[in-house]
Amino acid sequence: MEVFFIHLANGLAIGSSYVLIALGFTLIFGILDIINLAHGEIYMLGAYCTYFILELLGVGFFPALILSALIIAGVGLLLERILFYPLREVPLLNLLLISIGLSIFLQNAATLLWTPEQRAIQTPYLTHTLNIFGLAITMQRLLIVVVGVIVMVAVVIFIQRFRIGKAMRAVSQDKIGSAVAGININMVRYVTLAIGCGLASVAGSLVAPIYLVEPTMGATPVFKAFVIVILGGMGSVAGSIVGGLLLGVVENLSAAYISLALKDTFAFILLVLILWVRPAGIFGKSLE
Amino acid sequence: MRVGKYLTTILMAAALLMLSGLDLQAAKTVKIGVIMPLSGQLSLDGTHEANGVKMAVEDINAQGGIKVGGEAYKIELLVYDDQGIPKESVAAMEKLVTRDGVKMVIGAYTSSSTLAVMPIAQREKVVICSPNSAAEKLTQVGNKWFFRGGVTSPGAVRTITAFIKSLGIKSVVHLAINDDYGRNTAALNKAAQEKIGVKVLAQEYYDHGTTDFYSVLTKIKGMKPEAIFQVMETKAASIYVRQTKEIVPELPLVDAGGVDPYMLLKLTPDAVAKWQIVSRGPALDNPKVLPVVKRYREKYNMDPMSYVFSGYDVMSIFRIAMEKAGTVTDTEKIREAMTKTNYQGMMGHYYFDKNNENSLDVWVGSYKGGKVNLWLLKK
Repeated sequence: MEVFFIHLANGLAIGSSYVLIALGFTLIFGILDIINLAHGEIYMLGAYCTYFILELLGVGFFPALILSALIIAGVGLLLERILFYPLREVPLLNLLLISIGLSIFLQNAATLLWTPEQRAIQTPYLTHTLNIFGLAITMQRLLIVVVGVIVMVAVVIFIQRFRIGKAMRAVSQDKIGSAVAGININMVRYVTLAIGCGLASVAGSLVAPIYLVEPTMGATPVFKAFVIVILGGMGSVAGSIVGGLLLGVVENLSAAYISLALKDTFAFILLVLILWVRPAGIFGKSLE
Repeated sequence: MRVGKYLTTILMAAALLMLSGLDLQAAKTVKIGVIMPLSGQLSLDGTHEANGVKMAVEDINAQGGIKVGGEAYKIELLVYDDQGIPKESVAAMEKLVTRDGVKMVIGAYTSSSTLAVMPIAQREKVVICSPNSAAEKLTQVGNKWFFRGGVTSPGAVRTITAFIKSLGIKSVVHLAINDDYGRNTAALNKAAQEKIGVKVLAQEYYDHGTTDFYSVLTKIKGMKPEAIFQVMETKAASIYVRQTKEIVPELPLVDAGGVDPYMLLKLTPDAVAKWQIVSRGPALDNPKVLPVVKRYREKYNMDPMSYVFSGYDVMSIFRIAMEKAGTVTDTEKIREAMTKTNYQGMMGHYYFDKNNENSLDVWVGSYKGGKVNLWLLKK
């Protein structure tokens, strides 16, 4: 029975990394109406950024993580300026295609610049293994959960209490109404992309020491983020958090008790079941 | 006016003669196709293998090209990226044989991809050789146009089983990649291990792109095997081995030959102590490969994976077959010449049996002393 809790804990650990990447994805979708399939590449860029900062500047892991997040947030601002803002009137499906194009471009640019060779990031947290009730877990994995929780709480507080956060919520609910109420939509767009990309960067930087950095590392996570966001409700922050943790746990339990090769199958079964009962996702607004 | 017309005619005739003369002096080329994963999850291995082929082509062309019938044909290499996806391999193959008119192909990388393109080779009478696809099936489907250029799964299995015996391991759990290569290799190894009395407690599979092995490792820990036997390639292994240190640090990990031991050491030097090496390629300081190793380091700034040697060897074998057959276009003759291959390459001695199967072997080793030690198991 205690093994069950170990599997559950493993699931929550991986789930936390899923939440971090799904949060950025859902914010960008909810507020900008962009399904950004290049989000996985932003995550990858965050990981590479942290790698290079650690290699070249020799600073500690956390400073590198924060600096990366800021740089990638800047990349987000750049993307808004040169890509998403000029194309803001384009239909949703076209934006999706454009984001796929961006994803392919970034992935191949990374492969060209940095070769497909994997890069290893060493942090002191990797070698420190803790033993909590029989569960062996390195500090690095624990860090994903801890930082994940801190970030989740921070995002929730931000959108509930701060003016810009409230403005973001308003824009996600009703763009025209928000504009009428005097909210600067363009500013909100910039802030959203910066935060979304920053979150992806944090996710990438946290898992990089465990999973190694390479150009295709964002391909699977963005797919999972997409599933989580549908599961939790597109545009819902609470949905991303619950969905991410749920996906991590279901994947892990099915891998442990049934088969690792079938874990994606069970993730999809979960998705289908939830959509069957609640077509808009757990916390999604129902489709009228 | 009449003089002008005559002059123009003579000048044009002279020009035409000159042009046709130039044509005769243009370099003759022969197109060779390559299908490899250059992007996606298998890009690392695929890029190395393609680079090996490119290196061989450079060397052959530097010597004038393929010498056949008194002419020298420079090789024009057409490299297509199949991303490791069989559907894309088929598309690449069709392009190569129908649109580009290629007669010989080096590829693909994964057994699943190679299996997908082999029927096209048979249909179009194109010689195809994969430098590394290992699944047994490839030489058992009766396709005479396919030649296996890398160590086979059954060949490696014999050595690996002897290796496991020498390590005194009595029970294992298998962890294999969920594709033709992984499933086939795991099945062959299971049969061989059980034959010598090693208990195979379970066989677990994972998909390409899996980065989280914690759940399956926790599960394996509960089964209490004496060792884990993994069928995986380098990218997955380098992520996996760190996780084993966390969950099952006491277990020896026996490789099935899919992991490059140098790359593993480079990426995770602190987690390989328990790794029992099985390498498809020789040690990098082996005199047979040292020249290519040095050139590769200079050109690409990294150590070559064994796929480089395989790619180079297969291209060399192609050249010999074309020269022996005395043609670069008659594929029946070239195929015939291929069956008679008797070549001492970097990876070993290449010769083919009636199923176009080779008899290459694997090296075994350990990370004692913090470096890669390889040797050939005495049987």
